Amino acid sequence: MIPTVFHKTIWDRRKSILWWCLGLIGMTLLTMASYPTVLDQRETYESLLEGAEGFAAIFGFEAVSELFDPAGYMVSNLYAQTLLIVLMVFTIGIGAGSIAGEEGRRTMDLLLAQPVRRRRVVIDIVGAMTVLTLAISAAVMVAELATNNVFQLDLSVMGYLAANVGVALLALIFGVLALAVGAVSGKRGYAIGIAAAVAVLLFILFGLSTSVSFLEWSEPFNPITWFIGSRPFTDGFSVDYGWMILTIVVLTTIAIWGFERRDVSV
Amino acid sequence: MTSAITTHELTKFYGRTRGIEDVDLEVREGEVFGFLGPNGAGKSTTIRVLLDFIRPTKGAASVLGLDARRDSIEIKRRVGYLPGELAMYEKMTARELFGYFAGLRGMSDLGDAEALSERLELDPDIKIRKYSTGNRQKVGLVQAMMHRPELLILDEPTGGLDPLIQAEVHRVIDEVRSDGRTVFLSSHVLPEVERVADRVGIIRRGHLVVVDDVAEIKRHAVRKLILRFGDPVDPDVFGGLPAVVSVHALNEHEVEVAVEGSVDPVIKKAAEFETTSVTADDGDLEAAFLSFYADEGEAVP
Repeated sequence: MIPTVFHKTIWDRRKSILWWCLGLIGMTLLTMASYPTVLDQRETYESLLEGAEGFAAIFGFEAVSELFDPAGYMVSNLYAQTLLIVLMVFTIGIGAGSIAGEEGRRTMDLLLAQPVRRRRVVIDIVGAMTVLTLAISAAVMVAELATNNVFQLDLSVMGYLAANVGVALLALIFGVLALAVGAVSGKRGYAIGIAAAVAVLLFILFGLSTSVSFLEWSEPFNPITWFIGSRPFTDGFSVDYGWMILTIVVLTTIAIWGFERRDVSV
Repeated sequence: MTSAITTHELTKFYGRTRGIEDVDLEVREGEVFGFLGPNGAGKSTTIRVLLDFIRPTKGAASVLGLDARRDSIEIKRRVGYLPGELAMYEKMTARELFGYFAGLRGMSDLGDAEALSERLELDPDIKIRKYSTGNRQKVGLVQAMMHRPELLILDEPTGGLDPLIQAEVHRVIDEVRSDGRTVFLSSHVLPEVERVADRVGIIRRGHLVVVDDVAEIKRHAVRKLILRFGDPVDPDVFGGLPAVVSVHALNEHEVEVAVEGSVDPVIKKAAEFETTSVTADDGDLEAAFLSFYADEGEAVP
């Protein structure tokens, strides 16, 4: 028996989640394994990037040299890049596929013919998305902790925890955004397109706001800042994580509102 | 007698397109109600408003005495629904699907799913994407009935089913009625409604045109008989018979007779000649029925 939409959302991914975990662990270990080599070439890299503080800033650092510290290396090569992007693909996939996708596949009538409230459907999907994303992050973190010393990174457990929770929360924001767009519009294409577009825009805005003065105002309001700007590996959990959680709650509320008020398409 | 479904001036527009308009419907508890109309007439729209999938532009609906909008969850607890365009979770087996819906319904087991599957000769341990159209329809039917709903809403339940299974479905519907439960059945074919329903409502272009007993429909239904004779026969011999609406000679040997109600007098008259064949055309009974009501001065748009 699959007792709820929450369970069903997880059940649907019971096999694919393994591949997501393995893929991300592989990517993470490959990046970590390259660190000793980078460390050997550190001076060369630093001289190449000399004076490029703007480049360091887009990963939340002040000096170029910080990019080659373990924390800087992990953020600039993994957490502000591939790991975040892949996790976003995962969450946006669930977000867009769950309400809009179910309507597109025309199974929504059958689901809503059961005694389940629309708001419950939304909450269950957000819950399942959170559990699945945190599960992937946990798997990645276990692999990181196991190899931390081997690859000379020497980062703290708290640092890994804060970074993995942070990247999961940021990815969840875009997943729930996709869910909300799908819940309001019923269109899977809009859900993917708008969530991806907003993510790209916020990344560009974050990059520019570190160097372009008239965009500076946007920095405190940008979810990318809440994660990358909080320097999780060195500073641990930041109060900005609260803003990420609040954003997820607000987007969930919008999704509920949007889904409850409209006609379900055939 | 209380009502299983009541609608009052129920209206749904999709933008400027009319779905249904001013539908006043009453389905009594314990009856099988046939909801008849061509595709696109508004049958599914009506059903989807009843189940709160879509919201009416105007008017109100109640199901099992509960408000379709406000009490939608309680209604769904007590209603079983088979969608007209049945799409299901392709990667699940039927048993997993039944388990999911049983879970959402808070049931501790699969209810009647097992027994119904057996009866409809459905193997529930196959992935839904591998089922034939007929078997998919059976899965839809089982999930609609597994929790023994007080009201069964079936949107075109026998579409795509072969005649044997159609007959089985009709028997299941008969049983639901003899249990004292209610069936709301939409269909675009009159013979099906005629076979299972007590009363029928006909919907055309979004308007409920008429509601009547099936027996009454049968009485007024016009059938066309094509009689073929061994020797040439004067068609006028059928003209004066009771219940004959019209007579056309197709050729010297063939006569087409339109009959309202019983064909008995025509058959008896035909027996006076050497009749080589009789074919009955049930073609569009519904249209004939509607034309009867139009003649009676009822509003047929």
